[in-house]
Amino acid sequence: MQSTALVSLIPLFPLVGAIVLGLVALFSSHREVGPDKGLVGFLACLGPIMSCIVATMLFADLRTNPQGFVHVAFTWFSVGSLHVPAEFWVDRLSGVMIMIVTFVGSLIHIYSVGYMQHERGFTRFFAYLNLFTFSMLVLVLAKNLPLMFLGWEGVGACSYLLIGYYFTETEKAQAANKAFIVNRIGDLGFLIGMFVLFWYLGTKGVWTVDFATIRENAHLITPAMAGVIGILLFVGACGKSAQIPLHVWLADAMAGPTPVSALIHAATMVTAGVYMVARMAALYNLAPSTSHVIAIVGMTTAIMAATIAITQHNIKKVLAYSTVSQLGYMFAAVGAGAYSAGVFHLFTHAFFKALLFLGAGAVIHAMHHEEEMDNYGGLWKKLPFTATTMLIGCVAIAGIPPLAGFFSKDAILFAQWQQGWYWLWGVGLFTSFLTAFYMFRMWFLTFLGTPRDHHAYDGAHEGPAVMNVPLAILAAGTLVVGFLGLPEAMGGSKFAAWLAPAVGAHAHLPADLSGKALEAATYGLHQTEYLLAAFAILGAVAGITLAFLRYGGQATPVFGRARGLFALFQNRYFFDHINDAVFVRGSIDFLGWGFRHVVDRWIIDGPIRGLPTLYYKFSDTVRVMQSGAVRTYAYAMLLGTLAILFVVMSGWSLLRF
Amino acid sequence: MSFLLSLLIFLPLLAGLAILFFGDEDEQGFARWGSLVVAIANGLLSIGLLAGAERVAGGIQLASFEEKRPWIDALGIQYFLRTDGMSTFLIILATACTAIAIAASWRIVSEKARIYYGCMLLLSGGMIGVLAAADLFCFYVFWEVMLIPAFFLIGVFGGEQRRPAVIKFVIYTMVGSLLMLIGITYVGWQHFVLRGSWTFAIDALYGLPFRDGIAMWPFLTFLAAFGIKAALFPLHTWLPAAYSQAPMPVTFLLSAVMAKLGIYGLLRVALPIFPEAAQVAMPVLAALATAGVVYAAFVALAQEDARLVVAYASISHLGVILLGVFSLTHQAVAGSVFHMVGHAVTTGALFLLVGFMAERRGSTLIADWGGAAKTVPVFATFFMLFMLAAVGLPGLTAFIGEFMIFLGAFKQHATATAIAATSIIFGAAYMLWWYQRTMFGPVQHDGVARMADLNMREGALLMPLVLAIIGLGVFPQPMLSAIAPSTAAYLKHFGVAADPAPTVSPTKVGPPAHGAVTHGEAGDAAPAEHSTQGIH
Repeated sequence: MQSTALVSLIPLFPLVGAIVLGLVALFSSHREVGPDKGLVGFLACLGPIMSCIVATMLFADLRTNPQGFVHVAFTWFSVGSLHVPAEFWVDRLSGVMIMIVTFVGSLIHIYSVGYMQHERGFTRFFAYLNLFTFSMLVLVLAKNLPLMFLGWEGVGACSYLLIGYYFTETEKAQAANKAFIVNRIGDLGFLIGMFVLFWYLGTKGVWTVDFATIRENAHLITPAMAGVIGILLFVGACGKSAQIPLHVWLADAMAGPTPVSALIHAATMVTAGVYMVARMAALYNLAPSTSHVIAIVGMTTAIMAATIAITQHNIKKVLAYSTVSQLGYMFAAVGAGAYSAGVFHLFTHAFFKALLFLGAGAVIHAMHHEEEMDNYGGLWKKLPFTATTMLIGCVAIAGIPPLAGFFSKDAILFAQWQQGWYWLWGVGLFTSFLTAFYMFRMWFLTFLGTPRDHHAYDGAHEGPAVMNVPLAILAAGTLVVGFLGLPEAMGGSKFAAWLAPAVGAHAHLPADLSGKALEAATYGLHQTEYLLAAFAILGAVAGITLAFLRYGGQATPVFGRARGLFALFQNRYFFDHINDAVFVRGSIDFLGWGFRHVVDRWIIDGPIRGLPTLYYKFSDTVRVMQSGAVRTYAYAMLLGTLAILFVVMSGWSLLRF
Repeated sequence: MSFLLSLLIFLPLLAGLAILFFGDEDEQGFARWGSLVVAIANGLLSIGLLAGAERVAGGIQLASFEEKRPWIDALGIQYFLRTDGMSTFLIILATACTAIAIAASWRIVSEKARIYYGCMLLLSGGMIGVLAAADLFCFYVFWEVMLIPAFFLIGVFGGEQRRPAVIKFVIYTMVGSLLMLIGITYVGWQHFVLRGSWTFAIDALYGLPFRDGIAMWPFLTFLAAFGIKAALFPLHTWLPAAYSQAPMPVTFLLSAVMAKLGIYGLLRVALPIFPEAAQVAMPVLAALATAGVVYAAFVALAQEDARLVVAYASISHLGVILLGVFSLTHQAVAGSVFHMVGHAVTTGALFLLVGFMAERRGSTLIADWGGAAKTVPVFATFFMLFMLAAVGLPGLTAFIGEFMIFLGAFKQHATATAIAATSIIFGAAYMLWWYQRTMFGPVQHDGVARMADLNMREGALLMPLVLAIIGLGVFPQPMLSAIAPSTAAYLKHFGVAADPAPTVSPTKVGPPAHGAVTHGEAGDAAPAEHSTQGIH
């Protein structure tokens, strides 16, 4: 590994931006007219773009230097065997991540300058957004677990601040709270996993929290212990990446401005869990049953979120559940040991989901902040550019070749099949059908048919260039990045080869084959790939067709009350109802109230509060003895002294300590 | 300066007495300006404790300050003061917080100013004395000197419910003090029995082979005194009463510094003098600390008054520090000492803000607030920072202490730590919920709509705390490295050796196991054991 200070510069740029913008926002908070929006916008985009330039330089060098670059900025904290430097590391894995974060991040910053133009807290928004970019870069560049945790919690805090950006609305502020607190449940698992790992490796003579050292010494960990640590860390991943049962915050997180949903709640932060699992690949490789659990949780989340997405009316909620579902795919991949496939889907998803969210943002912007699809319809005529770019995103996520989503999702499904997890493959395939259905349902409801809110429709118009250019760039990316991850049958994945030094090569064939046997196995492998891909395409086409039949032509689609199974979907499987009734109310109204009013007041405090009363009673009693006769006092004193003396003399041995 | 410690103690003590006795009854200018000047001067002087600190590998090492004079020869009592890594930063904290507390009292106290400001200085001098004392008798004297002005500050200047609050405070404190006095007498006498001479020098009392085994009951007398001060569950109920009734600057000082003295007493006196008894009791004590962490978090959730939210939050956080104190690992103990400062600035800042709330709105009831972020954005920004610090956000100071405590305690009390660590969830719950109901949502009260934002004086008071919260969160290592040698010396009393050195990245230890998984390229790790090849 080569040491270069350039690595530390990457997170530094947005941090400086955040500090400058934060101070500007603070000092101008009482001004009627805020600081110049052009200047603020320029400053805001500067940090991420500079980071992107440095990241690209280092990324290019990773071709010849697969072990990557490190830099120790300073010692964060260190006591005894625990040594936590502020050390940043660009390797092939974090290299991909910083490219996503800085590139997509820069585009979303630029888009936001247009989108947020009319908001009051313009500067504050960009201060948060820059701070988020800094935290996310720390998360992915961190070379040790505590530093990753800094980024991990930092992105959570920024997410909290940005979800609650419109803080005068109570519901949005509550959504922000919910995101932070649910994430904290996951963070508890992350922390404890870190502690177990640290002390356990310590008993083996390795005192470290450093990723590279953990990777080198992972073989010292027993499979059972690796499973325990793996599950604990995965609990953290569940929180950040919205997997069952900690997925409940992400849909509510749509309360934030739409560019925030695109950057934080689709492209970057929510993928941190997947990244962390890939980062700890050496550990998860030792624990196959834990990995299997991860795949099952992932696939279950994928289908659950997809079923919810088909019943949503709010355009951002559809995309939110779609994100949960796609994250489930990613976990299914890393659970199957196909780390490169998981990260590849993360990579392509960042493009098309950011594109879809920004597109949705353009629609919402055009429709005066109307987010319900019930009031959309026929917008194709008004917003042809947005409709086209969103269509590209929909085709990509539906899994139609050769767009990005097809190849990445195909690799994940194939990994399930290869593991012999045919059930998971089947569920994944069905989810892919649902995905195609709900995405095109969304697109048809928005852009086809006749307008359902004529007033908003009449005023709708395309956004400014500053919003359209990022859309165009993301759409172009969505069209091409899929080719980086071709299946074996079509020449193999460049992406997987790139990641191999960081997460290990994912062998598709047994290593001990040769000659004819290898040829036959390779043939079989390729035939299976083609066959499974055909299934996936069929599923996607079926989904799109069904969506068209149901929503494509109809002038006014029916938005009836969902019944039966659909009621279950529409109510999000009642997760929120149960959580609220059991955990929230239980904590506040039962434990909190009971501890406060019963335990603290009566059980602990009761006897103490009784003491003064007892004291006053006692003093009332002894007051009677205050006769004022000096001789009585003298007798009493003499008697008392004698008694004490007696006790002291005779009882010295008893009082021996 | 060989008399720096005495100066730090007696400057506020004597100035406090002077203000108390010579202050004018009606004229408050002399009392408050005089006390402010003294407090600031003392704060600047305390920085002198860092003089002589040297840069060493991995951090800094403090110079030790010491003063020793005979006092009562017959009982071996000395006027003996000394500082080390554990006490130095707490003394600086105490002087700085005194200055902030006095400056924050400007508007709050108008009557009986000489009593108020005099008591503040006496309280401060007592606390610094406790921290500097190296003789147990001196320790006790300063302990009492500290408590008496605290009674007056709560009892005279407190809120409507101050009478029950101060009675509870007095009862708890008196019981604790008396028990401690018995314990002190016992250890001095034991030294006489075992070593043939009377002494109360604390380090001479370490490692006494007590006659009656582990000496559990004398240990418990000290534990009672210090446990009450540190609000160890279930000895905590005096704290919310006192904190919510005292004037906010006093609460600020009590929460930032005085509560820490209980923890400091445990580390300096109770635990190392009775290591065997302490080790027997530790599982129980860790369980109590953990119970307090979770219990107080839930009670905080059910509060309607901001003062009580922060008071219970404070109990919960003190429980975390106590958990660290009751664990015998370098990370946990150093983390506890560090977190005493971290918790002081974080909780202290919140109490100051609550004081500003009361000044503005005349009420700290959560229901009287809501939507204030719109009218007082600067206030809301500071509040947000302190709130995030209190929930232990990494990069801010409280995280460092909590992380090291949890990590260190986990080795010894895995279950208790896992339960205590749930405070990162519940702590976030009550803090965020409080913030949301106070600052977010629509403005519903005229009083909130007409409120003035933070002024320059208030901002200036908060600034040192902001700098400490961020500075010690990002660069904790200089202070940690200065604390660590003292905590390592403390751990020697329990037979805890120095930690093995951290493994330098990336190093491969031992031969690869059979069937080890390949991770792509093996990296540039050296195959030899404990090789230090790498990037450093």
